[in-house]
Amino acid sequence: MRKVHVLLLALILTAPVVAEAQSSVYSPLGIGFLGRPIGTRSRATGGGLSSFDGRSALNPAATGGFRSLSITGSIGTQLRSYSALGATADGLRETRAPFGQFGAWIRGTPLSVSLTYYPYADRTYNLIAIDTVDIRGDSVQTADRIFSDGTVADIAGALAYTISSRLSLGGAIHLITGSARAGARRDFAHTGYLSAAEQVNLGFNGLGFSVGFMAALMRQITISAAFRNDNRLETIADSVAFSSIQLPMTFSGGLLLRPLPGLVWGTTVIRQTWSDAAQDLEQIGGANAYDTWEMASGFELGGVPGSTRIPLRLGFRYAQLPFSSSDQPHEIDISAGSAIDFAGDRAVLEFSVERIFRKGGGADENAWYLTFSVTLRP
Amino acid sequence: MRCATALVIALTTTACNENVVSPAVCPEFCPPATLEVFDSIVPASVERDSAFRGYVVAHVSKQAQVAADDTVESNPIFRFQAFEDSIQLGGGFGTVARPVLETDSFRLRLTLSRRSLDTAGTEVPELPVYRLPADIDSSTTQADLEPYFQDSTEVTAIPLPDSVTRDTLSGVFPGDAFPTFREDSNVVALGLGYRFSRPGYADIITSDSMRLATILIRFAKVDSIDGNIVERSDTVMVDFDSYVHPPLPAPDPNSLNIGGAPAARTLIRVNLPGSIVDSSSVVRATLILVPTEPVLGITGDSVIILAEALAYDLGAKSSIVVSPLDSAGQGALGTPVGWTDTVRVEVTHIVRAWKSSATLPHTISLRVLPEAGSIAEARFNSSRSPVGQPVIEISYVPPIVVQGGG
Repeated sequence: MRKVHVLLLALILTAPVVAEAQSSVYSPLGIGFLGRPIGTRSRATGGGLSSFDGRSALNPAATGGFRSLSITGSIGTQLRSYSALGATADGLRETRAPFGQFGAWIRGTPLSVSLTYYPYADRTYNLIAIDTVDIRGDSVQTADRIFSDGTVADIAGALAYTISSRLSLGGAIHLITGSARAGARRDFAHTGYLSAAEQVNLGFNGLGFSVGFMAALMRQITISAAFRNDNRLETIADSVAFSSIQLPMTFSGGLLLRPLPGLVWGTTVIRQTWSDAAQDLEQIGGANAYDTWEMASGFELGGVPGSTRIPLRLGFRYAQLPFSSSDQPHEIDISAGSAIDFAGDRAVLEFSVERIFRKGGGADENAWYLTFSVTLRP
Repeated sequence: MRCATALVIALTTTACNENVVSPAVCPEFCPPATLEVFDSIVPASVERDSAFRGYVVAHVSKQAQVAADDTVESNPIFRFQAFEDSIQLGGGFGTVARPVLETDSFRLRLTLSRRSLDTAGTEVPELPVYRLPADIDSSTTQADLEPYFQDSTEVTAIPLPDSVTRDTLSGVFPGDAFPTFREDSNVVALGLGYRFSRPGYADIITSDSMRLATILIRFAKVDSIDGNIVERSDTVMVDFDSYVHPPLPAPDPNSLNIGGAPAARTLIRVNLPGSIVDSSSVVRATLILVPTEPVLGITGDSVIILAEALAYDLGAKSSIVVSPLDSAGQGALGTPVGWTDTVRVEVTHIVRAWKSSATLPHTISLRVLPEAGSIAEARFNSSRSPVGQPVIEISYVPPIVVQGGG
């Protein structure tokens, strides 16, 4: 069985997936479609537990939950369709690696550490436009392709200090990095015209930090809060500085309730000041940027001693999206999931299913998002 | 548990199966990349153009034109290798040379590459074959041979039916058609004419293109080993071939000449803004040339103008970049004889190559295909002409601002 676990982990870590977030009709706007710093467990609860889940990167204080070495890898598959201003697209699908983490408790100390990867923003799209242009007195049909393939990634190193069983503090450094290959191409139906194509390799650099705490007010109630501040996202196009965009501050808070044995109910609220990026985006002709609110709530039933072995997770999430050319879009997310412990709790296989509805700015997008992850605690 | 494991493995190993291609809804759901085509005729884009003659002469051309119309005539001429006095007999265990007693006949075989088609009537053009002096060479002119292109020296005529467009032609003539065969050291020289009620032409592949394109076969009686006379044949290849025609009218000294024999080439030096050549994506570039006079040549013929880039601009001795620019004939253009309108030569590949190579001179070479393969010649106004100077019309897409952070 141990060989099977190792094989599973190896498959996930070396799989031919692109290390990117899920994409969307909104991916070409702003700095891209934002990823979520949460693991599969939190996803299954809509993100409601993300302020308290050690296998998420929203609140560094949650890193204090590690009591052993923990390695997590995940893959996510999205199936989506959309309609936007009369255009429709069906059957879109992609598989990505949405989250990965290494976490550990430093034996003999109240300190825990983690190294987390998640996609800060997805930069993948492949857009095709058919049009007719007038050249040299003739109407010539053209096919334009605007594409990008890559991601802005967040690699966070977190340190948590567990002061007591009721209070932990944490801080994290966020290295924002990544790359994308972006370009555009125009083909002509007239054989007398050759194609025009241009491609650049983009590199992203940025830095941020976050701090947070998690406090148990009583046995049934825990609260948490975190603050994150990122500096600017510097974009380098083929070794030349291209743009610099102010990234937002992020405020988050959570409430965790344990009303019954085996039942955990979490709610998380997140505020991001994306309007800070509006001026920078305007200078490069980008979309409007809006501040966002996000509210998620969900519960986990079972999965602890004295309860059912296989937990049931359900959640709901409402989130505003920051980038649009007109009115601010939002998404609604209904999620469910579960987990299976095996090998004496040394490995956990988790999955979540999300039904996502995005709307706004003239577009309607629906998606299914399936996430699988394996966590090993050797 | 096993199902879950299998599911994870299946999902992981099929992870590359993705489809994110979707319709662009611009500008609302597009990055701020703009694609726009501009088109302009760049004034004074051509400068210091020049023409040079003598790159390929008629006797090294890859084809020879036989043609006739009301004003001009072109005649291929062939001098074959000398026949031996004997023919090899035998086989299997060995051969022995036996003397030729008598030449019965000859068969001339030619390879036709192109011709004019005249399907208006039932009349069939003919290629009369004339006996020529055995000492013809590259200095021989049509005036020198005029006495030989007569009925008295015609040895045969090869019909050219409309069904034959690219094939092998052959004509047979008697062995006594060459009264000085022995005195000429068994060397035969022949000339071709074009006989038809209307103007026309046929292009014959020469030995410079294909060694066995033209051959002469001798059918002879040979004294066999046992005293019997047997009939045998032997074959000779072309030793020299060319074609002769009267000189064309002298061109204007300021004109840009392309084609003819000896072949002329034109060099067009282009001065385009760096914002177009170096920074933009050129999607189409067209060289516009205005003829100074109707394209010269045989009625019904045409010149295939090929535009190519230069590796080095050394004037007449410039070297052409053969590959990969326009070697595929992207810039080849057929212009009929008698054409007086503007000629547009596509040079897109050449102009685009200048962007990728800082060492290529911004010079375009114009020549015909095949060079010196016909008497047809096009003459155009140059940048020194008072009107109708060559210009370049260029369609380009300015640098695309690819989304780089917003």
